[in-house]
Amino acid sequence: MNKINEVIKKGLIVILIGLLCLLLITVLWQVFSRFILHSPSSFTDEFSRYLLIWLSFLGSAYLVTLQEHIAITILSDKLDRKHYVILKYSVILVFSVLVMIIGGFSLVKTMLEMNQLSSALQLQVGWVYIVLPISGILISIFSLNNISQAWKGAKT
Amino acid sequence: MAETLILILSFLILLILGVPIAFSIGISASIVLAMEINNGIALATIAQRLITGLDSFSLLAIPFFILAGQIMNKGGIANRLIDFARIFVGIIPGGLLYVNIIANMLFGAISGSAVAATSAIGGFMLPKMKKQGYPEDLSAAVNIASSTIGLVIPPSNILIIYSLASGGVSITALFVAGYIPGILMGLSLMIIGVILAKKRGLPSFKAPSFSEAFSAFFSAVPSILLLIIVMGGIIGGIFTPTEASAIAVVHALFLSMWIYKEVKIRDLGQIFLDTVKTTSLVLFLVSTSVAMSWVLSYENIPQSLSDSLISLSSNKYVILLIINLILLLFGIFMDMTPAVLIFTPIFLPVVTNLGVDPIHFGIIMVMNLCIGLCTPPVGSVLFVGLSVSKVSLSKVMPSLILLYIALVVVLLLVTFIPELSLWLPSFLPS
Repeated sequence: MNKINEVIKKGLIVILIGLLCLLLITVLWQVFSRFILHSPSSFTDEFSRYLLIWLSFLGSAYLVTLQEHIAITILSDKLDRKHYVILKYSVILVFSVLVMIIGGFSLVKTMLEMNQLSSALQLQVGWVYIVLPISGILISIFSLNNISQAWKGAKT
Repeated sequence: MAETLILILSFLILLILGVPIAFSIGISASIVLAMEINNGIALATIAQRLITGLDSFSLLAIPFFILAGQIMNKGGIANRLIDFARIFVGIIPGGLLYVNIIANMLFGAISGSAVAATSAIGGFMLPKMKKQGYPEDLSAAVNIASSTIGLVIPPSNILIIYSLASGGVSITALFVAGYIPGILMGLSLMIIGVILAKKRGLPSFKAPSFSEAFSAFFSAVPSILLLIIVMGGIIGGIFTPTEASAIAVVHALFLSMWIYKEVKIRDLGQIFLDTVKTTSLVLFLVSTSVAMSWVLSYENIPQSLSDSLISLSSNKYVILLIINLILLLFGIFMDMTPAVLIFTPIFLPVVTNLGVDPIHFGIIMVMNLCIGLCTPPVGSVLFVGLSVSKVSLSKVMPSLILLYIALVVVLLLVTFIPELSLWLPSFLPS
């Protein structure tokens, strides 16, 4: 479990840094095409918005494996760490499975069935939205791993 | 009414259990919507709101301002800003307090992060002040209270989020509106500083020699130039805020890699990754908060809250005062981003009906929530500031309370004198 987790985490880091670089290049291209080429690029606005959506959801999955989402710890400081981690990630697991995976997949399915295309890139919007269930799956895996690590940690 | 109660209760329970804020918001929004409509549809609807909440070109400025700030921070900007501020205020008794305040204002504006300001500027200033015999509680309190000012002084990510929540108030106008209130916040803290410095007989710094001052000035100017390029470009209508933020990244890279030479190519991976982390932290909060805000309006909650607010009074100053009290109270427990996204749709229609300008209200709201960042029990800036200074909460509290009072006085001034926020934007071409 932990091994798979580490592999996914490493891959995710590469993808996230790549997405941010791509995002920067896209917006700079927009500035460049408007000022230097005098022909404002038509796709950059939409493409960069979609990149940001991907970056944010995949990034928040990464934060789950790092256990770095901000939380209020007044009470949880008093709970013992094992139970706190198990409780917290069970709640996150439920959200990611129900809303991000099940809700997300049904949203993607609807979008694809409606054949909704984006205005500039003529992209199937459903494929953009698929980042939500993907992140949901990642968050579920990371949460399970956090739970199992906490469980084991207390046993040994 | 039952829905409102369940919403608030489930959110509070999750929060107190230590579930991350973004997830707590998302879960309680889902629960309430699932009670109303078919569960399958509710889940897909929340999923859709999570995504569409982030589908905005202006939000793109957030990762870039964060990235530019991270690069500048690694490039050693904190020390340069401190030396810069020292030229101007170092020789006044208690001078290091004002150096700390001014450096925090500049650093916060450039980096866009109050927490980063507290630790970066505080990390350099607090040992310096200790060596000069400044009481630790006072210097820690000043560092904490002043580090949120950079959120009001542009460019400011939280004002971008307000623009989103308000349905498109001009980011440029909001940015420009932040200058005077931000400077007033700084001045108010300095006034308290002067009083306390006199009372406690704090020393002044020896005046820097001309050549020292000269080199400190020119070493800091390229960093401050970032603010001028970004804001000049936005105000002049040359760039959109998002484009300006990407230009800021290029400027920061150029400066830190070729001029200051403190950032190497191999550092960039870590800087980018740190930026991704901070960005997704904020934007995931935006995403779930937008979903929550949608559920609230689906349940007609903003409308009924607005109605009960209006029934209290029709005087706009009374209403603004009440809203300020509510925000101060919630700001104590809630993070800034969700507070702005959730409360703006509730309060903004009420106050605009009474003739308050949405720009003015945005500044009031952000200033108000800044104070919450440095109050117990959850203020992130407070706790970072305490850990940097290694002083206990009970020890800083007496000095900190004086500084809260100063900030609240400025908040009231900005609330009751709209010109403080609206005068500068009135010069913008419409």
